Amino acid sequence: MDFLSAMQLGFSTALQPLNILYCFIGVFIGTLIGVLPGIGPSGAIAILMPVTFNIPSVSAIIILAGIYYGAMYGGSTTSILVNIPGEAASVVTCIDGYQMARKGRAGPALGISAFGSFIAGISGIILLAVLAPSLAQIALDFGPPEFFSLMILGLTLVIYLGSASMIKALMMAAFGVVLGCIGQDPILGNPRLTYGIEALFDGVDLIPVIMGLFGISEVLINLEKKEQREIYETEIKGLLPTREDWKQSAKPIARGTLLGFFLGIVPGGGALLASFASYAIEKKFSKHPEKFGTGAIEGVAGPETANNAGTMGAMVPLLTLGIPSNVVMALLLAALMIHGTPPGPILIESHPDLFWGILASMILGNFLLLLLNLPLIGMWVQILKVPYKVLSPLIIMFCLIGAYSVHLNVVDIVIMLFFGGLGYLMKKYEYDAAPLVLAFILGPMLETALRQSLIVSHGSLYIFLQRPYSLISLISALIFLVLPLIPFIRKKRKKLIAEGG
Amino acid sequence: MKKNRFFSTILAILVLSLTLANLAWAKYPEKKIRLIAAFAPGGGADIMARALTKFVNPYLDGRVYVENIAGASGAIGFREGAKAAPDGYTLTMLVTTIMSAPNVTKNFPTYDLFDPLCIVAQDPTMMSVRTESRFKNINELITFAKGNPGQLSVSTAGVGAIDHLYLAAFAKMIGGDFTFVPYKGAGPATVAAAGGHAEAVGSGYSEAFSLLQGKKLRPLVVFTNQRSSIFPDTPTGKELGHDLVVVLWRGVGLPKGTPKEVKDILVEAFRKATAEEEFKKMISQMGLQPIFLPPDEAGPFLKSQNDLLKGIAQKIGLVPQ
Amino acid sequence: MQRNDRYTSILWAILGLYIAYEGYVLKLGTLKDPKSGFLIFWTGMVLAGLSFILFLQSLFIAGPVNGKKGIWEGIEWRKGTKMMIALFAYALVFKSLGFIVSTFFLLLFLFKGIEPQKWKTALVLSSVTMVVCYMVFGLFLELQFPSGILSGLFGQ
Repeated sequence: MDFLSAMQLGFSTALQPLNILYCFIGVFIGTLIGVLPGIGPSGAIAILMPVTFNIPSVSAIIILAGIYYGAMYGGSTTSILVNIPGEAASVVTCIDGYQMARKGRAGPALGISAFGSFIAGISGIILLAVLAPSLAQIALDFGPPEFFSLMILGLTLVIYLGSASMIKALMMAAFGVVLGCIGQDPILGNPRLTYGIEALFDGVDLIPVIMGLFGISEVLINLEKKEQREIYETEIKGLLPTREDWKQSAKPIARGTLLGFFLGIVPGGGALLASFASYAIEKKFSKHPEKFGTGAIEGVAGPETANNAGTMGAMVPLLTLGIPSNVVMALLLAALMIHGTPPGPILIESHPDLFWGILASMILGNFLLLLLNLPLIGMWVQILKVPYKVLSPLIIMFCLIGAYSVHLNVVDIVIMLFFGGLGYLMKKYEYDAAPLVLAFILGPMLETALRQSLIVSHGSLYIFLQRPYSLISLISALIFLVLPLIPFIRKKRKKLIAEGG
Repeated sequence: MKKNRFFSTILAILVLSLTLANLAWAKYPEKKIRLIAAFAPGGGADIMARALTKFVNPYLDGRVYVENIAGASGAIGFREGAKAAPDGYTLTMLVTTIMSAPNVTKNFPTYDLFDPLCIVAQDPTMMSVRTESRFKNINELITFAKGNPGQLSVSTAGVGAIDHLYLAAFAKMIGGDFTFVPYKGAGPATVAAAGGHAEAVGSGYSEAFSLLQGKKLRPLVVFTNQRSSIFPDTPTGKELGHDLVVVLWRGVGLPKGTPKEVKDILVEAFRKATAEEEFKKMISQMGLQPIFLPPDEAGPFLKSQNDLLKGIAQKIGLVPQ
Repeated sequence: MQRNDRYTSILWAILGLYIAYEGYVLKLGTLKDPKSGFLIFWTGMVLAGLSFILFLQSLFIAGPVNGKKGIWEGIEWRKGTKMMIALFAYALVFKSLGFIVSTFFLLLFLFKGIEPQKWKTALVLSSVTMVVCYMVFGLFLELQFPSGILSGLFGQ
């Protein structure tokens, strides 16, 4: 079926009044969930799923998917306003987004975030529609060796995340890797570094760590001052991005979209990597990298765009092969199966109204989200005006509930408090949290992939060089490692030449 | 004073709403019944729990709700369910993991801590290869495995996972020696096989459903008593002379010592719920087989499966850590 | 800045060595056949090594002096400490007292005890926040909060 009639079919499904309503409900709930730190879309989707049993398959997915990409829009809100990531993918947004808020530019930050997400969403859907079947094979081709090399590439990006000392960034990364190893050994199953505490058996969960490192520590830092007024230090300047902002953000948005979408296809964490990768790349390509960390809008535009593009990318393996890339996709898979429409290569042919209906509905959803989020910017910015003595207990409350909601276990609250204290000390002694978080996520994945690869290759390390994707990733990693040294080497050469006469 | 009245009104509303939320009335079920799902929301078993809740609630005054207690691969949730008061207000969703995990992990709760209420779904197991695989049928695979020890890579859902166990048993039966590559769960394992990163994979029907339907995976052998109607051309292990029958299952358990009257009410409720056409349809669409085993049948079934798996684990030398 | 790093880098180095030790206990294996402790051991060593380099840097390389006297001077340590103690206490009593009761008291403490505010404001804010949280998270999102002591009262 050609593209035009496919789109017609899709929109005729998506624009049925009930489906419009479902779409709106989905994205609305999604935005709410995204804004609330800690609680992610998976919980809400799981709870709403039984409610969707009685409605047609298309409508069910419309709502549930709406929650997913809606949450990606909202996740940046708290990152920018109070330096607490709404979910893991928004960690990077905190770095520059919060600084912008402190300079009174929360509005432009939120605005560029919303617009970027919109552009990414629409572009992602178009890419999905056009490329899906061909891209599906990539998801299957990604095995342990490819993963390993991709993670190596991801870890080299750590170097670009730190604002101050590179040594300290690497130290935090090392520490992050170790923290990620706490729990069951992924290959052998024995407990590691758990010290007999059963709650640690599944490892330390990401959310309490983030809540502590970013949320609690930020409150602690602010409590140091004798008197706090509000969060921002200068007056609020404008609610929307200026033309200058747009000029600076254009390329990051474009790069973020492509980067996010293609990384999102990789099952198991590609989308998460996307925002970190985008930040690192924007910093690398920027004409003034020193501005990153003090409120550079590229540091918000790129990652937030990459996020949303990643959600669309994650849909590719799900809809075309029935392979879920993350927990939310697994839930959508279950929903599709329960409704008797298992996704896979035959879905597009056997249920074209389902496939194209979902895509069309996502386009609609992105428009709704833009309409929803833009006016809210004015409201969010007002929150910054709330006196800190009222705001901080609320922030703490959100962090507590966010941490608890992961496993419904009080231990997570204790973990959060521990990382709160650690985060506070880290801020005092100028150690960055982002490398720790990235390494925490990537480290265990890297180790698992390494050991799996070695089992298959019977100990041979050549397997990493034999596979094309793996080789490409490793070479790229090498390039990224060597790049910062080039200006250094050039300076030395100049010196030598000057001295040599 | 205005402020005082405003304030006391708030307090009154607070107390009132909390009280209303907790009013109880007559006989069992009097208060809310929690169905513990020992895993995070979203997995197949969690969906099953929520589906069950939806269908059984009309028979139990709508009292049942799902409580997720995730952690330690299910240990925390299972333990909570086993030691709850045997008053019929705590049910636990049981899955085959409770039989495989104790072989790998020390102090993992075992199935006999529970009083089985019913089994509601079964999932027969099988071994598949990717569609383009060099093995056209199971005999070719067996020949290869026997002649090339350690050369056949098989992806598993994890060390000590059920598919690891029964495939290890199968390997011994055919005189071969597989190399097992552990992944995190059946999902990644089946995907890996479909992508050619492992030559074969063991799984329940439901776990490989999408890939089988999508023609990315091809079944080679099923570990059931008779051939499956879905894969009529696939031989059973028994036909080949290897008596191996392993079934994944999902059911509900009660803490030991639950009074008979309460148990009977629950059995009836679940029996009616699972007999509904809607429920059966939903289960089949997930790739599972609907079935209902009441306590007297569930008990022996569980015991036989558990002994089977435990025996295999010991034979291949798994030691709980 | 460099003086602060001097002591902390030593702490990190010790931690790194300890981590390496734990990795060693878990058995190392080789690069071609890594065991449980492989990654942990080497990462611990890397951490220790980097900390040592940091230590050397703090001794020799003159970093920018921040203009602040010291990072611990002139700060109000009481508020932060009180908050952390309160939060730990909250975690301890959460299950036994239940969400509603423990949250209410925590909020009361946070609104009133950290920064001075009028009693009435604190009470109103605490109750409203607590009710909103309960409704949004407990009922709407169906997070399960422990009922604690209230379950005795209401027989849930």
